[in-house]
Formats: sequence, C-alpha cells, structure tokens
Amino acid sequence: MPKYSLRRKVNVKFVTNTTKESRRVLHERLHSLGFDIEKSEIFTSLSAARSYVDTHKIRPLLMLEKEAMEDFEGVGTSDPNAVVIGLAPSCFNYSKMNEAFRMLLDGSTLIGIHKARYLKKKDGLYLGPGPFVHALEYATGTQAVVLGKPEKAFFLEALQEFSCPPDQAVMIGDDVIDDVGGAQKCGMLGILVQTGKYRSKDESKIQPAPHLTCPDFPASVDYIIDNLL
Amino acid sequence: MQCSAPSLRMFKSSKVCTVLIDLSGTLHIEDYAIPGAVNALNRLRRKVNVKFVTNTTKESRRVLHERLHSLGFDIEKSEIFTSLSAARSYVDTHKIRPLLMLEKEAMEDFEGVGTSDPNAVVIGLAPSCFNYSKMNEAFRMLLDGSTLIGIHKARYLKKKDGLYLGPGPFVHALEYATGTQAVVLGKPEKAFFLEALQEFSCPPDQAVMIGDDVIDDVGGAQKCGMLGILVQTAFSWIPGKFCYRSLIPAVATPTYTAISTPTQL
Repeated sequence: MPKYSLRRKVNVKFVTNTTKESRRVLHERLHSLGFDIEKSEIFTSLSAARSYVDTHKIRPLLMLEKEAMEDFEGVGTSDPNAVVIGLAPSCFNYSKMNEAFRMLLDGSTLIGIHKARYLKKKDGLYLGPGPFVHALEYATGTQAVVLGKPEKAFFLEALQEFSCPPDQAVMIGDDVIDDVGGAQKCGMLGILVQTGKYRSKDESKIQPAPHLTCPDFPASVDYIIDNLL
Repeated sequence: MQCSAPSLRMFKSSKVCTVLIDLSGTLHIEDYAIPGAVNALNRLRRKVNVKFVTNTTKESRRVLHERLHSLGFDIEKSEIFTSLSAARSYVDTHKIRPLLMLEKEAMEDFEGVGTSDPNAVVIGLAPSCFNYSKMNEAFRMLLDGSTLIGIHKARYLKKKDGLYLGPGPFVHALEYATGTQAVVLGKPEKAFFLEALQEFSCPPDQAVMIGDDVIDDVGGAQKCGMLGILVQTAFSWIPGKFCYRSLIPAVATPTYTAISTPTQL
C-alpha cells in the first residue's frame, strides 16, 4: 500500500495506447477494479485518432476490432481516402492487408493509431499493431502518421488540459520505449515500472535511461511524493 | 525499340560471359510468355552462359520448370536457381530445424528437412500463414531465440489482377516486433548472385542481370559488380493498367534499359 494518495497532490491523467477497446469499456473495467477515475480523465490513442480524423476531414478504412468502433461513431467511411490501423487481429490477414496496401498505392494516407511492437496478456506476449503498420510502410515506401505513444504530440495533448510544461510532468508506464522513452523525448521525467510487459534489462534499451525504474505503481507514487513535489 | 544506355561505352572493354535472367515479369507474366522472349533466349544461349534466377517462393523448381516448358522456353530444371534453393542450401549447411512459413507447393523443395523442435523461422510468400495467429507463433519463437530467415524480402509482386503484398512486409513486421534483423537469402542479396555465378566461375564484372524489379534485380546485381538491365515489360505489355513508376524511388541507375527482352549483347 502506498504511503500517500497521489491525487491529493498533483493532476493526473490516464494515457493508453489501447485500440481494442472504447473509452467507455476501459472506464467500466477500472471502475470495477476499485479505481476512482472519471471517463474524461482517460486519454487514449483512439481519442487522438478520432480527433485527427475529424480535424482533417478524413474518410477512413477502419482496421479496428468491433469494440473500438464505438469511438468512431458518426465518422463517414464510404469512399475511404485513408487507412486507420489499430490493434485488429481479425484484420491482420493477407486479404485485408492487401486491400489496405492497394488503397495506399492509390494515394490513401496511412494512419497508425499507435505502433506498439507487442502487448502482454495473461497467457503471454502478443504482436501489437506496430509490426503491421510497419509492414505497410515497407511495402509502399511511405511513412505512417502515428498518433499514440510515443509520439510527442500525444503527450503534449494529454498535458494541455493542465497547462503543464513537460519538465514539470512525469510519465509512469511499463513500456520502456513507448511510455518512458516517448515521454522523456518530450522533456518529461519517465518512471519505468517492472510489471506488465516489462522484460528484464528493458531499462538499458533507451538513452537516456529512465529517470527511475521501480517495482510497481505504488512504489512510483512513493518516489514522486517523497522526491519530486 | 528504344533503349537508353548512357554509360554503355564504359563497359565495352569487359567481355560478358554469363547472363542471369529473372523469370516472372521478365520472361513471362503468369501463363503468358513475353512476345519474342523464346526466340531471344535461344539466340542468347548460343553466345553466353545463362541461368534463371528467381525469388519465387510459392512454387517449387519443378513447377516453375513445367510452366516455362509449356510456354515454349528451352530450359533445364538445373538452370533454375531460386531463393527456395538458396534457403534449402542454407538450412542444410547450418543444420537448422525450421518452422516453415511456406505454401504447400513450395514445401516440396524442403523434403527431408527435420522440422520438429524448430529453432528457426523460415518465411516465404505464404498468404495462408500471414494471419495474426501464425505470425504470433513465429513472434514467440523468435523471442525465445530462434533465427529469423527471410527467403527474400520482395515488397510486392505483380499478378494479372493487380499487385499483391510479398513476404518482405511480413518479414519486416517480425524484425520490427523483435528488434532483430532477418537473414535474407534471395535477391537482392549479394550472396545470392555470387552463388548463381559460381557454376561458371564467372566474375561479376563479366556478368549481366536482366530483370523487371529495379531494386531486387538490377540494384542488387549492380551492387555485386554486375551490369544491370531493367526491362519495362509490365508497363508496355499491359499499357495503362499499371502505373507504378513512382512507387519506389530509383536507388540504382540501370546500366541499360530496354523495352523488351534482350536481343544482342
């Protein structure tokens, strides 16, 4: 049990690259686990993608699982001029990938909701959407617009609500590249927790190394309150 | 016929003794022989050594040979050097036990190879394996220390009804996921061209490569010291249907560009 409550001392926001689930589903799960979190405090790469699609008036071919489609309600998808890729196992087959490939050759924009290499589940590691976005980049010789972590724009947009400069912000996460590396490139402090998808010696994979590597979220909270405020 | 050969005079002092020829897109497109190709090949054979080099991984050497034979080409099976042959040779030499991500028709070239308790992932053009479940199986093997072997990394291939993703994007996906680099065996790897020339003890600067893929055929051969001839067959043969000139930036300036297959050297 952490010694202190983080919320009483700083602003918090929950940032996630999950693209398989809508914000509502995430919120319900966290709530059922006992976390005191508002839906509006959750900022996902899907939110970032929806915002991008609206701003740029894009008509996307959505490579998303059914549960994530909810966050794109109201978006026109006929005569698509972009390919939007999230974590979509049912779309990561030769036939669908080929459909996307041909659209890109015809001039559609490639948008990766994020490029996570893999994710961790109870029964092991699974490929993320990153490898499949990368496959299409390689096939077409183009670069995707990437919206989620570790993109700088994603972190800055998350901080915007609090008018907080990056050097007064901390990112806590289990992905050394997407969470910690991305945040530190933005000027934030990064804390790597050794839970979830963390694998031994991950902390040596980025330069500079994480500001802190610690066992879990409660430990990171103790550190922040004792040392950074 | 219009050919552009701005630097041909630079090579006139070297006598060419061997010509490597790509198959799909150069001698034929699926079940159609390129017009004039059969006769052109016969004339070429009288003057130089020839070998047929292809990255195809969906079909065994026997199947390729039968198709070319039925189109009228006078070719021996032993003259066909495929990336599958190169892969089989690599697997044998390094005593590898592969998880083979290949279509059924290509498995023939791996008969006799032990595949239980695999310690490597070997990837060819395998649409039936390019799904999340199989890719994940390969991914986990690679995390456990298996070697990633790409029979080749072609970005795409041309069929009658359009372009299709090659195995390259899927090999690339696994490289990205694991932060490793695949061993790649086919064109445009230098080792592939050198192995093809070895039979004739022919130095690269006395050899020519003819193909329709500017990066894998021409670029790869030229990096090896060979002369590269880029044929524009797909454009001229199906006019107006494919316009992919600007698809990939030209990284190799072909030595000599021809509209159709070679006539004279």
